[in-house]
Formats: sequence, C-alpha cells, structure tokens
Amino acid sequence: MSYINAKSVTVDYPILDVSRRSFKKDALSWITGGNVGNNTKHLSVRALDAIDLNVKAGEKIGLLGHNGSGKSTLLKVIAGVYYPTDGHIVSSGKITSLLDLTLGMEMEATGYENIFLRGVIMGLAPKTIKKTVNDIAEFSGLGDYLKLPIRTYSSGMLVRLGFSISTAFPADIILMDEWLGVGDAKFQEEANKRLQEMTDNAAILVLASHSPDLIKGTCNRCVRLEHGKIVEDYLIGASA
Amino acid sequence: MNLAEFFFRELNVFVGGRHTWALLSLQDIKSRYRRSVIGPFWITLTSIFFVAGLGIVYARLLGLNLKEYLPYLATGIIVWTFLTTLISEGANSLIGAGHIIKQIQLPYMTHVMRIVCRNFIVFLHSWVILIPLLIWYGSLTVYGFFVAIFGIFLSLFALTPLVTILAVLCARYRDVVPMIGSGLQLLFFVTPVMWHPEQLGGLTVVIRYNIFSYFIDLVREPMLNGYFPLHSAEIVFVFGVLCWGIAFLALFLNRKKIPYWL
Repeated sequence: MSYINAKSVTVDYPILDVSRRSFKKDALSWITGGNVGNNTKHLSVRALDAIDLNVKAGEKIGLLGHNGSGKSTLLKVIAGVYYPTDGHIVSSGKITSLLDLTLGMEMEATGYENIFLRGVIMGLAPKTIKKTVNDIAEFSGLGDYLKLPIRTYSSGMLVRLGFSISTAFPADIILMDEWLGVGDAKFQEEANKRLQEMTDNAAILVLASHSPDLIKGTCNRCVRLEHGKIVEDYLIGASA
Repeated sequence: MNLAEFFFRELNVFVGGRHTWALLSLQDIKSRYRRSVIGPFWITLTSIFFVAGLGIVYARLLGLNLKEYLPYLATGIIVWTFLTTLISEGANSLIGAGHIIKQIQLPYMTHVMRIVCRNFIVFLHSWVILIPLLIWYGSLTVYGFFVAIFGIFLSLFALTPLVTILAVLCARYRDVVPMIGSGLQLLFFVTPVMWHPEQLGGLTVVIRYNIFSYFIDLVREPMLNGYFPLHSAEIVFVFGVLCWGIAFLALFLNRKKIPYWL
C-alpha cells in the first residue's frame, strides 16, 4: 500500500556564500579549534517549518499557496531530493516526478536517443524502455522528427516528447507542479486524457498549483501552505 | 536510511543501476563525435603532438636514445592524460550533475561512474595509436598487454573512490576545484612521466610517496618491459581499499547535505 508520512519536516536552505564555502576558513577553524572562523552560525532560509502530513493511498492532494510558500520544496522532499533538515519523512510506492519533464535530455541527441536517456534517468532499465518506445513515439506524434536532434525542435515539441516519455510508465505516487499544459489544442486534449488516466491509476497524487479551481476539479484533499507551514487542510468532497 | 541501506543503494550502481551511467557516458562520447569529424581522437592527437615534440627535445636534453625514450614517453603521457582528465572531470562530477541531483533521487555514484566510464572510453581511443607504436618499437608482448589491462582496471578501482572523495569536497568547497587543477600541474613535473626514476639520483621520496607514479607504473611496466609490477599493484590496491572506505563514509555523512550544496 502506498503512503507518505511526514513528521515535523523542516527544510532550511543554507546560504553558502564565499565565506561559507571557503576551504581555507574551515581548515583554519579545524586547526585552531574553531576560534578563527568565528561566525559559525549558518545563514539559512526556512522553506518548510515543521510540516506534519499523512497521505494515504487514494488521496489526491492539492497544494495551494503563494510564491515561496514551500509548495515546490515540499514536492522535492517527497521526491527524496532534499532531505528534511529536521524531522523525517517515509513513503512507500514508486514515485514519478513530473516536475521537470525534459530532465536528462540531451539537445544534440535525437528524439529516439532521448527517450532512452530520459528513461534511464527515471530509473528504468533500457529493456523496459525498449518495449514502450513505439508507444512513446506514437503518442508524441512527432513522427520522423524523432530521428532528428532535439535541438531542432520547437519548445512545444520538446515538452511533448518529455511528456510522452515521463507519463509512459505507471507510478504509485505522482508529483506535479501545475497541471501540464502541453502543445497545441489537439495534443492538449490527448495529454489531458492521459494525465487523467495516469493520476486515476496512481495511488497518490500531489499537485502544487496556484489555481483553486484546478485543485477543486482534480483533487480530493486540499492543503494550503503559507510561509512553510500548513495553514489549512481539508477534504474537498466533504467541504462542497 | 542507515549505513547499510545507503551502502547497498550506492553499490547497486554497479549491478542494477549500471545502465544509467553506461548510457549517459556513451551519450557523452557520442556528443563529442557530433559535428566533429574525429571527436575524442582530438585528445589522442594532442598527446601525439606532445609526445613527438617532447620526445625529440628531451631525448637530446636528457641524453637518451630516442628508440627507448619515445615509447616510454608515449605510454607515460597517454596514461597521465587519462589520470588528469579523469581526476579533474571527476572532481566536478557532482557539481556538474547538480541539475539532476536537485530534481531526482539517484545514487550519487551514478554521477561519478558516468565520468569514470566516459574517461575510460576516451582513454581507449588513444590506444589506437599507442599499441601500433609499441609494436613498431617491439616492446609489446601478449602477456604484457593483458597484464597492462589488468593494471588499468586496478587503477580504476582506486581512482573511482578517490574521485568520489574529491567530488564531495568540491561540491562543498568550490575553492578545491582550481586547487586540484594547479595540484595536478605540479604533480606532472614530480611524477616520472617524462623522466626515468633512475635519473633522480637518490631523491626517491618524490616517487615513493606519489601515488601517481604507481598508477603509471602499473600500465607502463607491462607494456614496455612485459612484467607485472607487483609492488605497485599492492600499493594501488591498498590505496584503493582505503579510498573506498573514505569515499563511502564521505558520501554517507554528507548524503543529506549534498543537494543543498549544489
């Protein structure tokens, strides 16, 4: 069963300016027992402040909040990229992050090569990717363009390819930053359908957004963040 | 994640996770060939010019027979070039993979192995020149060739963790990046690449405490003289084991901090 359990998760982004990155300073303070590098206090920005969040299978969470309220940081903590500086988080289930669709793709490589590149970055074996490569190619609708370096693609085509690869494999936990707006009207429709299917099949969806309407339409639970704290947490079906 | 779990996750890079770095490094090589006719052979070509130029001048300067000196220098330079590019690129491996590390969770060794594998493939390119040259000068034996390959893998065994330690250090302290660059430059002159250890005239400290001289020894001795330098192999092996210990400890202790540093 998939779940996410976060207990008093705090994230402080350290500000490592020149003086904090200096090897000489740290070395001096090791030698002298910490007397020279006297400003030992870490300068940092608190992005998440003691977040408690339990997500059970079947829940579709919508994260609401202003810029800088900690939505993206929370997504990255769930993705296991950033470790909480305080508190801890455990989760079970295969996580697919749709935060950066084109991550790992190489501009000079062809579309086909990039399907594999993006795939292995997502942690898939080349064998698994090979089986789905035709489906991905077909869904992307890029046809012969896939034989060209993606440097020649328009930005819309690039996202289409990234989207087609990233959503080709089933996931238990899906992380998304805003609903994906991909390509032209026709592709948008197909993409919407595919995303809907994928999130319906997944056990957990965590979707960060600025739009309350989107969250009302897609999610069944809403969590509102402000200054890195949860200020509201309610079930959407129950409130309506 | 405790130490054992972390250990297995990182080690899985060599089993289930090997496709990721293998494919990424192959792609790196491919991208060097794109829009360039000879691609990574440029590095080989640079080595050849270097060997030819230095060989002629230094054989004179040091009063050596060109026939003996040229294969010696060529092997030395080619191995040295491999060592230095591996170390300087490897030290940057975590910084360079920052955009990936900040988006998706992968074992850290994946990013290091990508660089190690890429550099090894580039190194193989230079063999295309080195092997015919050594055959021409008649110093290469079949036994020596295979033992040299073993020596290279033994060197990689020790270099991989060494580079990992440097990568963690560089991610934290950006001053270390140029430090390594200038350090390697100095090392070139105190490592027997261009000159013979015998010419030191008793100043053996320079080689004895210089791990690079053992790396070069492991490849050059079998290739030129057809024997396996057991003493160098022992030292490199012990050095490697120590480095693996430190590398895993450095990664484990900093595993939560590395993404924040990038």
